This record gives sequence, structure tokens and C-alpha cells, in this order.
Amino acid sequence: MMLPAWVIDPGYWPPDEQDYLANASTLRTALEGIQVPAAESDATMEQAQQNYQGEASTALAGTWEQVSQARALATTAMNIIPISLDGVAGVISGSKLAIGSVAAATTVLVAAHLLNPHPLSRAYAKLRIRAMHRIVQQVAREAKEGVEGPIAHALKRRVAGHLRELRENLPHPEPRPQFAGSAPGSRRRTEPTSERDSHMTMMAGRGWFGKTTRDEERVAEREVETQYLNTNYKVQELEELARDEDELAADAAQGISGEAAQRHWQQADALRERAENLRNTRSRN
Amino acid sequence: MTESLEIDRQAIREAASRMVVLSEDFDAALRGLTEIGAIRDDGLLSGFLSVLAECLTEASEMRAALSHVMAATGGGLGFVASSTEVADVASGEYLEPRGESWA
Repeated sequence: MMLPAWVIDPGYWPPDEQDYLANASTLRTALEGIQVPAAESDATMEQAQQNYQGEASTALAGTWEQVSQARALATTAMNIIPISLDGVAGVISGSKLAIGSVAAATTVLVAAHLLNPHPLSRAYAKLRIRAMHRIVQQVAREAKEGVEGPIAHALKRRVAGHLRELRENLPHPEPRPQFAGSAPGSRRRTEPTSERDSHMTMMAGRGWFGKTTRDEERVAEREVETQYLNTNYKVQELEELARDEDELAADAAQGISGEAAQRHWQQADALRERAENLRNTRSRN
Repeated sequence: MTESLEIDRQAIREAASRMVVLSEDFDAALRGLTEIGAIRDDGLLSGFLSVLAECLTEASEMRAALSHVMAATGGGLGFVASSTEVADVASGEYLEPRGESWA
């Protein structure tokens, strides 16, 4: 968006939503990649249990089911991260729309006064620009509150908190006595990498899995949906603000002169129509 | 003993090594979590970005934990296969010399 330098105080220009969208896409690719190994490991374990019946097999099946369930819940939680990034990108786009509309209306007003000067034009233009900067600051504050309030809060609780809880309750990775049977001799296991090793130390002494249920999975899914709707609502709110600002610009224009008011009123109408079109485009998508 | 514990050792061994391979695939697929690109910010959304960083750290640790448990499950299966074999051999050695005096 190209605007005269005096229109926007650069400190309040919204960040680039492309950064958020690009990272959301990276995360989605990574999360899609685990579907195959996850499904195949379930199939492998099911197959193994058919070849191996007895008490140990039942224990193994129970433990694996817990692991598999925890993995599904963790995937659901991780899927919220790219959705939240999309949400933030949407809020940034909405802010830009709001700021852009206000800036456009102000630019039109100021340009008109510079072209057709009036004794009070200069003072009026300054007032309009200052008022616009306040509106831009308000939009930035709204965006910040929206992103750091509901979105960041849900991320912290539903993603970071939930993942931590799932990890702490994962079944102990060491073969249990049931696995070992009555066999004598060495305990064999795969050599852990240092990352896994440190993780295992961290998990040592934790309780056995058993807290997460299908209900919790449903709650997590509902949370994703609610969050998505909230984000859309925020964007709509910001668009609403853009329309209000169009009207404000028109009202201000009315106070100057009949001819100018007419011109500005038409401009504001055109801006409102553009905002409406953008809203329609968004709701169609 | 053979009636209470039916086991196809070869299939179990294959499943065990398959699980280890799958755990590595799983781990590699989620590497993208740590390769997130830079997000430019002049401080406006710094609160969100710190929560995002926390989530990605947790997700990374979950990735390590799950791939470890998957590999360990494979290890457990392999252990089952070899330990039942050892048990069979051991009980065979125990039974054989006395087998003649039974009957």
C-alpha cells in the first residue's frame, strides 16, 4: 500500500501477515507428514498382537492404545498452532483494511484542501491527520488486545498446557515386567539419542497414562472451532470499524462546505461499498 | 507353556524393527516444528510471539517423547521375541535330561 509519508506514523503500521501465513503452511506440512507413520505404527502393533497372544500381549495392547491416543490428542493440539497463525494474519489484514480506509479518507480530505485552499485548510488538515493517527493507534491496540487476549490465551492453555500434560502422562517407555516375561538375562532396548535420553530422565517417576478421554478430544476440537469463529468475528469487527470511519470522514466533510461535503460524501460511499465488497468476498471464501 | 503363549517370533521381530523405523519417520516429519521461519515484529504482537514460541517448544518436546515411546515399544517387542526364545531354550534344557525318566 503506497501512502504519502505524512499519512501514517510508521510506528503503528501493522506487521506483515505473510510471515504468519508462511509459517502456518510450514507447520501444516509437518503435521500432515506424521499421518502415515502414525497410521502405520497402529497397523504394525495390531498385526504384532495377532502374532502374539497372552498376558503380555494384553498389557502391550493397553499401553500402545494409550500412546496412540495421546499422539492423536497431541496432533489435535498441535493443529491449533497453524490455525492461530491464520487467525493472527486475518486480524492483521483486518487492521490494514481499517487503517487503509481511514488513511484513504484522510488523504482525500487533505489532498482536496491542498488543491483548493481555504483560510482554515492547513489547520483542518493537521487536525484530520492527528485524528487519523489516533484511529490508527486504536486499531493497533484493538489488534494487539485481540491477538494477545483470546488467541494467545487459548494457545497457551489448549496447546502448550495440553501438550505438557499429555507428555507428562505418557506411558513409561521402558519395557514393563509383562514385556520381559520370565526371561533371565540382559535388558535390551534401543539406544536413545541424547534428546530422547534427556526426555526420559524428565519422565522418570511420572505416573502412568490415564487421564485423557474421548471427551477431552471432543473439547479440544470444539476449542479449535470456537477459536476460528472468534477470529472471524474479530476481522468483522475491524471491518465494521472501517465502515464507521468512512462515515466519520463523511460527517467531517459535511462541516466544511456544501460542495466539498458532497464530494467527500461520494468518496465515503465508494469506500463503504469497497468495504462491503471485501466483506462479501471474505464470507464467500 | 506353548498353549498359554503363542508367538510368531519372526513376525514380532519384523514388527519391532518396523516400529523403530516408523518412530524415525515420525520424528523426521515433525522436524518442521523447529524450522519455523522468522516473524518480523516491531513489538506490537510480542506477547503472542512468546506464547507461540512456548507452544513450539512444547510441541518439539512432545515430538521427542512420542518418537521415543514409539521406538521403545519396538524395542519392547524385540525384547519379547528374544526373551521368549531364551525362555524356551532354557526350559527345553531343563526338561530334556529329565524327560527320559518321566514317561
